[in-house]
Amino acid sequence: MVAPKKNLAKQHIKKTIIGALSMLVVFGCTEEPKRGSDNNNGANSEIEKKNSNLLEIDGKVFSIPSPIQTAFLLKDAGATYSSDLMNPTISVTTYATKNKKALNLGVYGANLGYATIYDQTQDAISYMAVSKRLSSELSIDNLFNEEMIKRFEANLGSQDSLLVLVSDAFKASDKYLKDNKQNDISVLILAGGWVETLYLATQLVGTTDNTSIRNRIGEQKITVKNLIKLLLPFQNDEEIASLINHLNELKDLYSGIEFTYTYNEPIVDEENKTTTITSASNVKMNDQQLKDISAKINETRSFIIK
Amino acid sequence: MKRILLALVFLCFIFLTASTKTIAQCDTIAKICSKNFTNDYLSDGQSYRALLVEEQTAEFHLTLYGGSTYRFGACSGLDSGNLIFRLYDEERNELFSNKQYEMAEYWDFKVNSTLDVIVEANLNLEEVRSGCAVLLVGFKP
Repeated sequence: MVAPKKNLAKQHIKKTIIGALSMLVVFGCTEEPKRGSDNNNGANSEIEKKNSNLLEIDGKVFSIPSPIQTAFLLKDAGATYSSDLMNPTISVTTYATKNKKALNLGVYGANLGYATIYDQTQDAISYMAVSKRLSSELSIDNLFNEEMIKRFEANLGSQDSLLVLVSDAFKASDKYLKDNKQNDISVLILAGGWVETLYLATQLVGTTDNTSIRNRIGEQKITVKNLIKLLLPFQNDEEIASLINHLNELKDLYSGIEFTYTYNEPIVDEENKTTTITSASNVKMNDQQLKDISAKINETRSFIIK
Repeated sequence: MKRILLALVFLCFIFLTASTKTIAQCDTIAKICSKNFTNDYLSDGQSYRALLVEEQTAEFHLTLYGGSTYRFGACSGLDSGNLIFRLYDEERNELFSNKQYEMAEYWDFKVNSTLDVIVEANLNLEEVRSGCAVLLVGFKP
């Protein structure tokens, strides 16, 4: 009487395991991008309610603008190059944890972009070297490998080619980390780059009368929220939780800034495959708000690079 | 019990093979899609990919800076026209849909003022039922 029961139990376990693994195979293949979305508490949940077929890209739907774009703005606005503002390359030896290495890879990447845009070849080479070191310590094979360094050196003097190389290297790194389920590292690199660029902008805003840097600082009201959302799934880590606290305080300061948006009909040029988005937006930030934000970003940056 | 273990090993093998195959498939599509990006455009440094089945929608949010020109490339499969992508502002006003332009694989956007946009991507079910969707974003320096 006992034997058939045992067989039944065995069969049941077998079916359960096989069923579970089949589900794993199916969903592992088709819904992999949902990874890391459990802790998401805001917009994503709302989106999911609207559309049950929704797939999030790589677990998060928020992206961070390239630090290189703001570095270009600094140059176009007439801000002078200041190597003193960048994170000293010597500090690379002090970053012991995986999180600090990733954050400062983002910082150094932003410094590399900044130096390249201002045609500061020697600085660019130095920041390339420390970026290579940190990426190697993080075991990111695709970023700043020997071949890339050779191409970089071969293109010295050609700013356009150098920037393509740097941007492509960071994209390759982002892809590598996501393929290897290291989204936390990927997000920390983005965070480091964003904080460093905003730090440069807040330090240089007073050096020119051009209002575009001031506006760009104000426009980060949107990005700081997106960055926090990207970091939230990893908040159980103590260092990341501290970074989130800093960014939340920054977000609170940004909440007082007025950002208005008015939709206008876009203009399409079909022949040139181009749409001009004519919607208008405006940022209102007073001097005290700028001062407070500058102080907070300085503090956040110190937390990252120290 | 031996059979269960064998089944476990077999399924794990299938899972690993499928994952590797999927990454390789996405890599191939990304490579094809990147041909739409000349050196005039710099990558935003991020990789956007999703596996879509039937009517699933991939959606992501990003900020476009005023005074910039962006190129969006959206590809799935080895042929063009497999992916529908639409751009909305935060108020869900439609800013663009490639469905109106023969499912164009790439499109440029000149942005007058900074805004947050939402990009939605779906498979063109007349062509494919499932596949890897790749979105590339570049900006003009």
